Amino acid sequence: MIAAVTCEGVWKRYRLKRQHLRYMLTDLLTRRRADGEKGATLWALRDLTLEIPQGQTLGIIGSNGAGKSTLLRIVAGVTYPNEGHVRVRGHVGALVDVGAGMHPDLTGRENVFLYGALIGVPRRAIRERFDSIVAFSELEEFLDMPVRHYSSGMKIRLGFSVATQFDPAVFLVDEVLAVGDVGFQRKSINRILDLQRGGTTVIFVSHDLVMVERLCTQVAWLETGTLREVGPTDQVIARYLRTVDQKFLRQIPDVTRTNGALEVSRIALTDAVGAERREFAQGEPIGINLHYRVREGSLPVTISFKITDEQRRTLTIAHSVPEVSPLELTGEGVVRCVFEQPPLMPRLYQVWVRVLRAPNFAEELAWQPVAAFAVRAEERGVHQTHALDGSDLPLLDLPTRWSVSPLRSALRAPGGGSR
Amino acid sequence: MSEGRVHPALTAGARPAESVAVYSADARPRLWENLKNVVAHRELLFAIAERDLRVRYKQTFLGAVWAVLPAVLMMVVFNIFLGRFGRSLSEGFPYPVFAYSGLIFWNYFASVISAATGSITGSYSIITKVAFPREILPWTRILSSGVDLLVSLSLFGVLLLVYRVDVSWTAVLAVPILAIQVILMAALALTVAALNAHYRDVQYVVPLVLQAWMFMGPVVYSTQHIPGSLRWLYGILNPMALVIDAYRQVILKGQVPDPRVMLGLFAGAAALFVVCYTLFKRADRFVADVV
Repeated sequence: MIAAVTCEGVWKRYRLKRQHLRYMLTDLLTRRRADGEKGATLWALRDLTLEIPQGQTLGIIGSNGAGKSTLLRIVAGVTYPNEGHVRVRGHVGALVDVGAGMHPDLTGRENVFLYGALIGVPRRAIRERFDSIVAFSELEEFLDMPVRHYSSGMKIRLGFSVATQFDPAVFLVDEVLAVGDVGFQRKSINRILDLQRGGTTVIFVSHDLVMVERLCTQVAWLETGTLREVGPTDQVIARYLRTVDQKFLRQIPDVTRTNGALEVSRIALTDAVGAERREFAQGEPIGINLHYRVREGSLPVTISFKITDEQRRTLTIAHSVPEVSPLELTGEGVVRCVFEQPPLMPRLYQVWVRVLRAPNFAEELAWQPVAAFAVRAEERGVHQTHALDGSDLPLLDLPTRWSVSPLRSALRAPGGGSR
Repeated sequence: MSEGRVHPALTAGARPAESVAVYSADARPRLWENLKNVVAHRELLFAIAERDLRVRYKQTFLGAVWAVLPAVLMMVVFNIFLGRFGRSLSEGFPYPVFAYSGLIFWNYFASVISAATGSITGSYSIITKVAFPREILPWTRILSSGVDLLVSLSLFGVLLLVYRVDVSWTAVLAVPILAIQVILMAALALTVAALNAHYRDVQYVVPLVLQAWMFMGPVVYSTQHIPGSLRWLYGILNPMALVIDAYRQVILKGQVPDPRVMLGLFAGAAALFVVCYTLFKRADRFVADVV
């Protein structure tokens, strides 16, 4: 196994204050590093050691400020580590930002050549591939327009087309595909898959875990500049989600008080037998238990739960109204709502709650997130469906039944069904 | 150490030959390697110079006139104030010819240095996102302003005809002198570009220094009255003065310059270049963090 990228004991520091002239000169003129200097510094990477074998696609995940982009910049050769070293084998193609390496006053056509020159591609080679670059970017009509008039989506299309066109040995992508429209996203994912098949080592930084799961075989999880974990995608993502969930849940107050009449003391997610859970299999019933306490008398309320995805898009809202109208809460108790067969894809979701007072719909408790859970892929893993779905990212997993009925044949299709 | 390496020649389906880049805090920049890398990226040098020219002339009304106008205007202005003192200031040549011969080479120098000052900071978007030999940025203006110089030189030819100043064969010696000027400019361009990346004050200081520098040198008046014993000191403090004097010697006076002075000048410029380039490459490793 040959390593395409090796990081050994990499430390990277950013100065929050401008370096004093005296120290800068010491740095420049001597080999000694001015360690004893004052001034606030931020360690973006701390003692990072990582090896990426040739041909692997490594996802890098972690919260904001974990050092993901810094690592990419060092691998791309844009900046240097302060300690340790990074070894990169072969030509690097990188797409780390919208419009990276483009000059706004030049036209798209001129920028293709400029970018090629930046990454050291001979003009002749660019000319050879020019047509396929343009075809991929779908920007034929805009080629002779200055890039300053391009939308960010158009810039990304151009940048991605050029960056992937010259068979990089190592390709770096930093959370930019999200800018393109869905059609281009799909196209660029397919292009990355092509590069993978061609043996390119890909490093993919993203907050979109579904995309990471789709593209990467291994994932490195960075946290405040250190490598927390590196391993098979599903395992690392699962553990990452668990800590994110915990972090998220820690932010949710254990006891939610309302105007005083109602106190929501606890929200628990449970499975079919009532055991508390944070993870559910695809299609498994998800129960939400709301523990309440009412100070005095009885309180007529309408309770609503909603499930949102990581981007806080509302997927479904369940109201208590059509079932029991209204709920009469007295003393202490538990309101239970079960999503019988949630058609959710393997992802991370949030549960929100709202409580309205029954007669006049006065807000007793405004919408607020109260729990998070993960849906895990079961026997049909993401990687399996991946082969069929290509780069399409379904939101829902609806139960289907399939059959074939030949019109004039005596043969009957065997009744088939899948969940 | 190599960064922003050249893309291997591309043939369909072939995997590029493997080169290994090491990014380490302890990497020592090697001058020769770095220069080779620049040569390998020469197309970038040309592309940015071309971009420079395009951008400069695309959205301007007068276009290429701007290449010659500053020097011509300065020549006219100085002619009004200094031309009246007779030919003692201009070593016996018509003042406009004398002044213009200094001004075109000086303006070349000044425009390269002032453009270099902001070349690193102004290219924020590529420096922080793509790896390439960044010394190319301050150097491109040597090429693009070189085009302006050619335009100015043709106008200078017209001026020589108008004032009936004969030019002898020694004028071809202007080429090696230009080479020395280019080395000097390359060294100083690196210095101001790197300094400005760390301290933006530099961009305000450079124009002032250039202005003062012009009047300290023999650009618009002769400095021949400086005694010979002091001239070497003057030359060290202001190598551009020697360069401009040398241009006048070979173009206007038809003399061959003192080879010792020329060799000394060349050696000095080369040494300055080596020092500036080495320091630039050291500072360059972290320049993406400060621009």
